[in-house]
Amino acid sequence: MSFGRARFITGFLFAPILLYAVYVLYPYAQTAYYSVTDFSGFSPDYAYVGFGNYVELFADDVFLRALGHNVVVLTVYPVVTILLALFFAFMLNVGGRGDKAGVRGVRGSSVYKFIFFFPQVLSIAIVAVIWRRVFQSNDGGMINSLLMKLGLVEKDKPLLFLAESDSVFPPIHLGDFTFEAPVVLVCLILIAIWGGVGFYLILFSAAMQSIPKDIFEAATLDGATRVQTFFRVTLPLLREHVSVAWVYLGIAALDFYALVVGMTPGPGGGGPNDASQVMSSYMMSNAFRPSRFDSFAFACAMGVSIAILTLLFAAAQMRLTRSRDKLEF
Amino acid sequence: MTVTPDSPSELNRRTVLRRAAAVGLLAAPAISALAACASEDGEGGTTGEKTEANPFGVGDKQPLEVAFFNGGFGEDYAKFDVAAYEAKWAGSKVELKFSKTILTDYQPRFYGGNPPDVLNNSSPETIPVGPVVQGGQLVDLTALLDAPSYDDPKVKVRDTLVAGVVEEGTFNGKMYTLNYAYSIYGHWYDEALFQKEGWTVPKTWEEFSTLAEAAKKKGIAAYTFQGIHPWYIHNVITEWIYKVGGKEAILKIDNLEPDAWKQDAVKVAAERIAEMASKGWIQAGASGLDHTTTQQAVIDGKALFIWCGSWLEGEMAKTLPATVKLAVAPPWDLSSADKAKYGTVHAAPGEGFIVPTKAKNPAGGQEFLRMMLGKEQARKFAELTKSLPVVKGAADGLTISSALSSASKVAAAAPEVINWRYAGWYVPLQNAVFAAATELAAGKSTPAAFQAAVQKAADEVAKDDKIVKQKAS
Repeated sequence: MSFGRARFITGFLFAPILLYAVYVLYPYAQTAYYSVTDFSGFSPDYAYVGFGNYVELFADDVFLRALGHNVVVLTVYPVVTILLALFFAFMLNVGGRGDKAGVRGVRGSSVYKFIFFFPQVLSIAIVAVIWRRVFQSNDGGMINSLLMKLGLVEKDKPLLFLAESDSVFPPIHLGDFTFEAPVVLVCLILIAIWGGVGFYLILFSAAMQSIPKDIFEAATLDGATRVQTFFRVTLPLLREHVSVAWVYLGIAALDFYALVVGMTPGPGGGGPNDASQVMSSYMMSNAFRPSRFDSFAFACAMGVSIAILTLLFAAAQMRLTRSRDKLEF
Repeated sequence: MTVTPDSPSELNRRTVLRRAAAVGLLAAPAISALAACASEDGEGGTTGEKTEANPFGVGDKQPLEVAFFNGGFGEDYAKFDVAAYEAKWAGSKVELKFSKTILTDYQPRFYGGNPPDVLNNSSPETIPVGPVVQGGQLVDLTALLDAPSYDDPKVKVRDTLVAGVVEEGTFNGKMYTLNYAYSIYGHWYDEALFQKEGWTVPKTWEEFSTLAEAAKKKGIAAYTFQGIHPWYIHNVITEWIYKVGGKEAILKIDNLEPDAWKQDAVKVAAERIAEMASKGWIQAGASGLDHTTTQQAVIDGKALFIWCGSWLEGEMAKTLPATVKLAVAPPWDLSSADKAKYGTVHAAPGEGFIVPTKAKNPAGGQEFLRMMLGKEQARKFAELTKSLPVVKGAADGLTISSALSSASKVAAAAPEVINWRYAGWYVPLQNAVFAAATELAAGKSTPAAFQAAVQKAADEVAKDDKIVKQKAS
């Protein structure tokens, strides 16, 4: 019986595991292998060169800047997205006026849910087209034309937004490492938040709906305000969901490739003057706009570094937010 | 470095054939016997006999695979070329493929050792010639240059091409890329607007300054550039450096000589761009706009000049009203002591074609290119694409468009036709000019900062032994 069951399970798992091995594990292994060679990406002849690519990588100005930009995204994007999503989810589910009908969301919450989730169904290419229009750096741009009509911006000095490399705070230099937040990067983070909140709102909504209503009702009966209910009841019960969201958003922040390539100036994005370069976009421009004959291998070293950083981040995140006592309800 | 030829015997055989072709012993029996032998070792083999009419020994009924870039030039000329090949080599089935992303689609085939016989290596992302040549994966097209031309066996292919084609396609001293389209670059403007306002095209910086101030009073920017695509502004500044410092200055840059970017010519060119930015002559916000928006600004009369190639009219055809008459002007004098005379024009062959060594039918590939360089096919290219091919006199007598005639006229009158090489050879250096020139034109930087940033990149390229160095002369 148990033998038959094992065969049954294996039979089902065989195809997915094979696909996973061929299309995920094998390419990972290949990338790791190429990263210690001088592979050009074109010729099957290449030699082992040790860890030279990694040494050069961490002495590369642009890569270090890109890493710094990823750190900025990683500190801002997940926090703001989660806070907004939590706030909206709370308002939509339990934030309404408590009356005879018991606990419920604000009026029109289903409409809001639809509006907030909408960016999620748009493909990134469409998002890029829309937002390029919004941020366009002349009187044809939505924000610029609005500000010009209000007289806040002069017609011959439009705001550059996506072409603005100035940092919103004075750059902080730590040895070779520069910590800065160029305007273009801030614009990208805003777009990412706009696009991300809807999804996490739905995630948190679902989690909130699974919390029994009597808990909220009990809190209301005890005279808890909405703010108190949120911090004392809702948030602790959503701990695991927030933790998962944090890991997802962290991974997205360490990637950030599509927005950079889709929206920023320069060949392969990352401009102006590398102000919006992130690790993944720099990796791609090395893999496909090469000058050194081994830049493909160099790009592989970057890929491996990104993977390791992402794994470390996820592990740290999981450890920090691990729930100590699981609540059953 | 891993410069490994496919196999020693393979290389020898090719070298022998190539030299034989070069010395013109094409019809000698010994060589045709050799060519016949070659047919037996499948990969890269040729099967036909080499004759004057068949200089590469194309075999009977050998299939051919050609891959074209599907971009501004469209599909029609490719289809015409394929039909011509199939008509001449009856029974040879040509498989024609189009791609919008040559690199993505064909990199795996180079790596896998089964590339197509002819590849149109053009697009926003191309197969980089350097690494592929390092791996011995491209056919040296010298044999094609020395083969008899398609129309007249007494004239070599080399002698039917306009100047610069061989140099532009050369890497490590050999021509691996045949660039097929000839583009003329310059500052485009709307002639109709100039006539209406009674303006003339400036020939000196002073004239340009006066015009720029006059235009500013009417709310028109004198200059604009294709902001987020920095390739254009990098051409403007390099062209201006050439204008001020002459060929000598550009050679120093091309050959990565120490302090090449600290030359006075670079300083003057950078100062001119900074001056335009600081005086508000450049379209506001241009650094954040794309190529169609800024090009449209010139068409709409919001800006006077934009630097572009002779494809501009074709690219903007859909939004170009009949009342606008696009014309091109060479760069005006930037100082009173410019080394290059007024009228100097930047023109260069582009739209590369390569033949991979590991293709199944490289002989057919080269024959395909030889036929494309024939009069009839070159003329058809001009007709269909409204662009000039690199074949001398191919578009003579054709009235294609007023913009192209304007470009051809400017090129014909030029005392010097200029080009440079660093951009194609050294990507990190080109990237540095991209970034620094854009900052300059956006008014966010200074000439000194431009010079310092680019010189730093040039020094890094010079000392990086993983970047193969080329020599310009």
